[in-house]
Amino acid sequence: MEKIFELPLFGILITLATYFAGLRIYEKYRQFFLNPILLSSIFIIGFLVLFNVDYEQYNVGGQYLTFLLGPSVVALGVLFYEKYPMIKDQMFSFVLAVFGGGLMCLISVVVLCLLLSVPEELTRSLAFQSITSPIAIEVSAMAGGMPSLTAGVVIVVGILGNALGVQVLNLFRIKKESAMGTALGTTSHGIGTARALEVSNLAGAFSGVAMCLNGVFTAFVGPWVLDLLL
Amino acid sequence: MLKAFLVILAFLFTGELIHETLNLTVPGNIIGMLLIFAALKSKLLKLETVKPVSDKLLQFLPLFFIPYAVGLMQSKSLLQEHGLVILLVLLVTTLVTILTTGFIQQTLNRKDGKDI
Repeated sequence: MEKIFELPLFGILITLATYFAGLRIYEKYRQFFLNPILLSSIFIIGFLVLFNVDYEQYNVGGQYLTFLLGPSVVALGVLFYEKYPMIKDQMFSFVLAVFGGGLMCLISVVVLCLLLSVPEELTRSLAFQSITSPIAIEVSAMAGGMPSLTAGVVIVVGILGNALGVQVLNLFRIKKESAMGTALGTTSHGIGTARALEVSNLAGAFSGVAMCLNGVFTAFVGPWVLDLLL
Repeated sequence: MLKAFLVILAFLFTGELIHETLNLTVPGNIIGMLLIFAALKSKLLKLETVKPVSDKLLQFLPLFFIPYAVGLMQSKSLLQEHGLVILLVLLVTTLVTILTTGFIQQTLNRKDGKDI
């Protein structure tokens, strides 16, 4: 029985099955906390613990899926190109907003972590919370963080932005679709973009491009800001 | 379909190659992303050539990072010790970031007289 968990098939199968089950549950109830990634991860962890399977055994198959993150980042470049015409005439305010937000995220994480005396390795993992997972995981590893923790916090930040973003923006009278989209994409990447698309197509386009741009911006600036402040 | 995937992999590989040879702090996948954007913009590459696969990759993107999220089970003691603090940091900084971004864009747009 031990052997069966070491087949690549096991990791791939359980991930696919739980993801699609999670997707069905999310589509049925439409509650933000029923995020398919969250449901799937919790179920898999539960299964592995219950049947005493090591993470390494699961990851024999899991790594085949992880591999596709690289090509997915390249695919973001294609999305960037496709949506670019929609945001062209607000380029200046858009770029400044994304850079400002991206920088504010880095600084606020570091300052808050220092105030709460969070260990440095944790701070370096949390700093990349707002950028899309495939980029965040890679940059976190390069900047001395823990990729698996970064993967987790990225999802949590996505869910927080998705759940609270629109209400908070409205509370502070930020109600223009373009600004709302940019804010959601810059802060909460793909999961925020899903929420922006519910606001409108225009908000969705701004959000998608903001996600790409903040990914690039933070990948360039993030490690440098961390070394400066920590 | 396969050709589109090949093109995307080729851009990724070129990005990784540049990352390795120039010893950059920017990941190879980002360089690949910028390269494919530049290739599309300069019409060296047609959108139709890559779109079938790039759309599929983005559609299933969440699936690809589940194995990383599952990897959190290896940091159980870390989460028991710091879990609440982490959650607090995430909540505060998420709200700060979202408001900063939205505020900058809306204010600048209003100055320019753009009302969308």
